[in-house]
Amino acid sequence: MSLRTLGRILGAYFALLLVASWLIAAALGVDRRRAPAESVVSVWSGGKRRARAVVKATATLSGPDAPLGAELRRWRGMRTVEDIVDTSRVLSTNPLLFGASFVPGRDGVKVTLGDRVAYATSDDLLALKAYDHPLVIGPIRLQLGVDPDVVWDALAGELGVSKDELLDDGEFTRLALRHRVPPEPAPKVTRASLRDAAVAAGRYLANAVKTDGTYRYEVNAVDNEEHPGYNWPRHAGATWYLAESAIYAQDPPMIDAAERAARRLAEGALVACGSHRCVAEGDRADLGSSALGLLALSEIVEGKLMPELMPAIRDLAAFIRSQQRPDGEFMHFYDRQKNEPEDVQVLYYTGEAAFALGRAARLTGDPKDVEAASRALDHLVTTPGWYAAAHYYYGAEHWTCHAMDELWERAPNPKALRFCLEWQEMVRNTAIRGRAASPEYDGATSAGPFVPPALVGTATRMEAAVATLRVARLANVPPSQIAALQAGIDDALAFLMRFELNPGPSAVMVNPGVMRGGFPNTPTDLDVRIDYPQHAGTALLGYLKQLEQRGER
Amino acid sequence: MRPVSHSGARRSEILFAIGNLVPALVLGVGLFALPTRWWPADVTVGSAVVGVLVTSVCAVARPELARLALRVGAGVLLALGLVIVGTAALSLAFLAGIHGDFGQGGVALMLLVTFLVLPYAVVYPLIELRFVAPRASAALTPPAPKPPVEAPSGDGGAAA
Repeated sequence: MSLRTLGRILGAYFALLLVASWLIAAALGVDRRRAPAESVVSVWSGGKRRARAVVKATATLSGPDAPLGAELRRWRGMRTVEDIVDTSRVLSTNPLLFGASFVPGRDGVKVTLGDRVAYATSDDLLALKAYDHPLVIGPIRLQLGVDPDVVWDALAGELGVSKDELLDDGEFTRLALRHRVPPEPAPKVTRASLRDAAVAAGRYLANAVKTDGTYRYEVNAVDNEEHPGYNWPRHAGATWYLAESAIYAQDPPMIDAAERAARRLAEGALVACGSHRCVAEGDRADLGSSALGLLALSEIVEGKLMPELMPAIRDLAAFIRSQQRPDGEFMHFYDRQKNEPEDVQVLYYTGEAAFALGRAARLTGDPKDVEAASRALDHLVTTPGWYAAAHYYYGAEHWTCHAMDELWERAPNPKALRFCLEWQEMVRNTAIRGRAASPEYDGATSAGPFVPPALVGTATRMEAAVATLRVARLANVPPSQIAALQAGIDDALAFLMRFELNPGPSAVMVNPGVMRGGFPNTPTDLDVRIDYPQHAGTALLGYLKQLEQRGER
Repeated sequence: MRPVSHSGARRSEILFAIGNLVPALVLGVGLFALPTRWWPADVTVGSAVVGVLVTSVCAVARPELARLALRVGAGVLLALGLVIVGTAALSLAFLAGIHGDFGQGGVALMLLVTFLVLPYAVVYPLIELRFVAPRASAALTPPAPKPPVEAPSGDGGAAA
């Protein structure tokens, strides 16, 4: 084959590929800015859809002639209206392709079988927990838009046919949807909205504290079902934020709940670790539980609640200091059988210990606490000069910036400030921007280009951002850098508030009241674990306090 | 003993044969690193890697077949590259249709993947094919001995 022939073949190949790609994208694409032609009206009660009608988008949706008025009264439910702004074909019923054919949280499915039609709207798919479906192939975890089996089962049930019949004869259409009733929230970041969101997060945690002082650890907002499992570091972290928000709000039920959770920690989880006391269950104590426990108890005592916790604070601080190595690093575990530390390190614990010691020192007045915290912070932000990746590769370790903020007035560490500013620059520059299907994700920390972002990932980075902002102002960082930092915080906090269950998609929830103020895992996975509102609430309240102090907004 | 050409063309043949090891290694390691075994990918990429290696060995060991072997190896590599690029383009078209503009992060990621594949599996074999193409081969073949120059004729060469 001559070169000329090869060139022609290649040219034809790329031209064909271009045309095929364009045809596929055009056939599957939707225009989400279009005016809707039809609307899906549903009546929900107790988290279940009770009635549905599809009407022209111009139909009247209020007053006595509004669709489903009788059903609404009968069920004493809630009416939702989802506008169909555009449609496109579904390429295949191959499970992988079908699952990937929908944007989570934005798209629904319509199936036509003969003269019958059924809809699975975005509310239906949330209620079915059909979004964010992971397809696990070995160690690969592919995130599909929807779980095809769940969708097909639901649609087959709706039409009264078998799944096979549905797949053989059904014609599937993708629906690009937009919520009209209730309208999609678009919160502005103001003192009022921050206060509302932060206190709601604290109130969610307060409602989650049981009579024995433990939390409803992880709850799905759709069915209000509690997942098994418990985690003491998260108990302690949640109690820290609950105490902070309760003291800020001066809300008696919240204060009562914070005291219950703190008492459970101090009386039920404090055990002997050699000559000290630590937070542990079983023979192996981890530093994180004690560090966050110390943080929670310090917050409570500093807020003039439960002064009887002061001895526990001193004990925990002494235990944490006893785990420190000469280079500032901590040994993260303690073997209670052998009565000796284990020099093993895991993520977060050193930062948590530095922050907790710094905070406890406000109460203990012990310079050893500040000194230990300061050495740990220095260890955390010191990397060899040749390790260039340190400037490009960051994890989710946000406690370092909390510790830097906590210690700034007593032991300022400019290296730590540089680390936090650099990390935040990276957070801003890699944040989600301009996703056509989901512009409301702008400012969030990405979990991948085609999946909804996890709220906790954004929340932890914003905790660090807010701590960095305070210190940046104290350290006279250039105004342009402060403005950029603040702009990133505004975007990310708007995203967090947009998806807080305040009230969130309450129509699809069995008991929206108990979930109010919770922060879900993602916009489409409504699992709420106690650390999600803790992290988001800490960022929101921290920013609110700064705005209040400066008299802004 | 087999005669070995030390001409520039032969050196280039050996360089290309050795150079083929780079894309073969990248593709082989990439295939091995995939966390699951999926036979269509395993067979396609695995066969291509073996093909490129065999033709490279042949190009070094059999000078008389070097051009043909390199052509086959480059062709195999180019075909695989075009399959990868085609699959990636169609997948991107599908995702773009579903998600619309998926933001700077997604675009950067896709461009990065594209630019990691293109140099090894499309640009390099094209350069190689350009070198070993039959026309180039002919041009690089040592020139045939010229016929002896005839003695000038009596008419001063006017008849030539």
